[in-house]
Amino acid sequence: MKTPLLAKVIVYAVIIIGALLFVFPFIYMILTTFFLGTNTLPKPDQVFAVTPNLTNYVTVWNKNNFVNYFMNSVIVTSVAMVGSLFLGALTAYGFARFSFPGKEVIFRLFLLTMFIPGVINIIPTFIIVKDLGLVNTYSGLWLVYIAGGVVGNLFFLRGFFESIPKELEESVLIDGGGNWRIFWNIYLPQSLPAMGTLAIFIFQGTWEEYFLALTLIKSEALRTLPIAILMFNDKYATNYGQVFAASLIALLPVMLIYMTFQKKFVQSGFNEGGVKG
Amino acid sequence: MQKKRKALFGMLALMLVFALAACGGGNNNNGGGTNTANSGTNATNNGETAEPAEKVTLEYWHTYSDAEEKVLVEKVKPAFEAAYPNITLNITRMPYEGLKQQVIAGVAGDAAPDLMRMDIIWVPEFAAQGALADVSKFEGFEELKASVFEGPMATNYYNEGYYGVPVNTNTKVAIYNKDTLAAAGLSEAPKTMDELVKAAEALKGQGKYGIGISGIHGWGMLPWFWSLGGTVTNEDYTKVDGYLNSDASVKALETIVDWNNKGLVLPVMLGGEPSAWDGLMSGDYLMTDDGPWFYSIKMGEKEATGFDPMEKTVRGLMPAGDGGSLSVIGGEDLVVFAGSKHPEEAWTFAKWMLSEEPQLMMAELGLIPTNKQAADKMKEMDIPFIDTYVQQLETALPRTPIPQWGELEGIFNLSLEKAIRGEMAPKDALNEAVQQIEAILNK
Repeated sequence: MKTPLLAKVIVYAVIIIGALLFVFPFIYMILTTFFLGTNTLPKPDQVFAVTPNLTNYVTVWNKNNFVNYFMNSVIVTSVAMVGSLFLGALTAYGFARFSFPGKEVIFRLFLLTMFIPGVINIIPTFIIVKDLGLVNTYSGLWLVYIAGGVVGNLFFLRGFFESIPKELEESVLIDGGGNWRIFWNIYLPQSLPAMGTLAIFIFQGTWEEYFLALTLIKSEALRTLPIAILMFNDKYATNYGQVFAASLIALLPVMLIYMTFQKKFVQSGFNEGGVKG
Repeated sequence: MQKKRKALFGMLALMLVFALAACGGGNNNNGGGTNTANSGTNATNNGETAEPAEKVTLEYWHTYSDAEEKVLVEKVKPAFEAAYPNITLNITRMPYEGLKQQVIAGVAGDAAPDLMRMDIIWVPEFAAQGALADVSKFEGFEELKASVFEGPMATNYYNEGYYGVPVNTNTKVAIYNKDTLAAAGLSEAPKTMDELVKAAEALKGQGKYGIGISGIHGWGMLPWFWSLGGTVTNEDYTKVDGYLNSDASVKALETIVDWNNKGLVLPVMLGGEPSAWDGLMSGDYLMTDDGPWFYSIKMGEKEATGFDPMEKTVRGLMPAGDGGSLSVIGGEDLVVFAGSKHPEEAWTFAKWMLSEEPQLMMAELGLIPTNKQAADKMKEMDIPFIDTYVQQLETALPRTPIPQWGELEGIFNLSLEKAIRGEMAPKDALNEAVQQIEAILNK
């Protein structure tokens, strides 16, 4: 089928304008990082006249324990992401493939907890973590991050797991494999698109989370990156150049994760045709 | 950005929740002294009972700036630990954003620090929730009280007790851009409101703004409202009727409304651009009022921005109106939490921190001491911008130091904004505010 040239031009124009519209604030943000000692967001005419420089990036990198907190965040987030994905997938597998008494009731109960915003629970959560002796440890933080994510991940993955043909399991059973092997060799590889998408969500959510981290972590040395960024908001004046430079550095891993996993979620439906008829 | 905004809305909603939660939790804290929080360090120290002087670690939260924290860690802490070898200070810098919620969560979750340096306007509120220890019951309080300035000390008063001690004080003075001042035809800072208004009118033709009100909130508005003759409450902060809506207060607000209608006030008052500092630096604004941190921060950025605040600005007292030249007192108080396991040691630190030596260490950075002797000695120190601030402190007033100030300020801000935006007549706006505030005060 051939599209008329004019229609093509219009479509592309709309797409390009749309893309520019979305990317514009981001470019504005990048350009703002080149301003030194500014306490207002610069005006458009100033923004495009600025000479690019890395002064703010260097300042920010060396300030407020930025590097330490960056590494702390990497540790906290990667463990939370792997743990959360694994536990979420296991739970979803259970709910998708096994029947046990009260399954639907438990599932509904799980969903019910999703209606309560996590921050409302912060004081009870804190007291539980304290009673476990896990205040001021990453284990405490992981516990809450991973456990807190199970229900959402289960909800996300269950439907996906149920769409995987049962016949695939039989091939494992014929080869003498058990439930574990079915999970590991069939469900995980078959649901990579969903897992990839979920990984991005979990990573982003954990990477940006600061309130719980600030509440549970009491010593400065263990703090995470969002707290370092908050430190740039001074009580009296905010240096926007530095805040944006810090935010941009913090954004890099998120972009990296997006680029790594985006291939996965583009390929949804690749398991179609795995079974005949 | 949208995410951030969402988060902000979330936070605002949560403040309510926390306030409720803290009311319950705070009371529990008062009754039982069993505090098992504050990380593991305290617990291990408690075990060493063999030593005659038990070694104690104090958790101390603060919001000092980069440069100030450096002095705190490198000079103040070692000096204190040398004087009291049995006490170790564990210093934690908290982000200012969301700090109040962190403190509320800490108190409710039984994990508040032993000590904290907090904004003076928070103290009565936290005291009312039972989060803080009444330090006037500690030994040596009367001597300490006699050694510090009365105004800052008063910010700790609640219900016949004192719930903290003032660790440093500050105020705002008028800061003028030198070139813009010359463009207005003046060679020195205006002494009166009339002179300032004339200068602002002269600048209006040049597209510049002259009257430096930085925002509609207590901190931004009160120096102007007071200097123009307005008042908020009676002297013991129990009554607003007949004060906030007195003829003089109405006149003060009318004057500000009139200035704004004529286009003499900085756009930033109503949330416009540029910010007060940027406008002042670029010369689009003749002046603004701000604290000593304007100088310490801008001197630190001198190399990067090419703007030398000492060269390019002139300082003056707040221009005098019918009420005189009045400014607002800011600063921080050092409080001991009610749940502290080591109240004696915490008090020892508070007492020591208010003595001359540590006060002078922090004074080097422009933090104005509350200790009278230290403040006297500060005048001899070579801090170029501080003289005007110390002078202005003599005629600076505290914001109403009552637990309801947070609520009260919200009403105050809203009524002023309504009048300034022309939605209500100044008199009606203030009368409405008085009604609402009286209802809160009489609760």
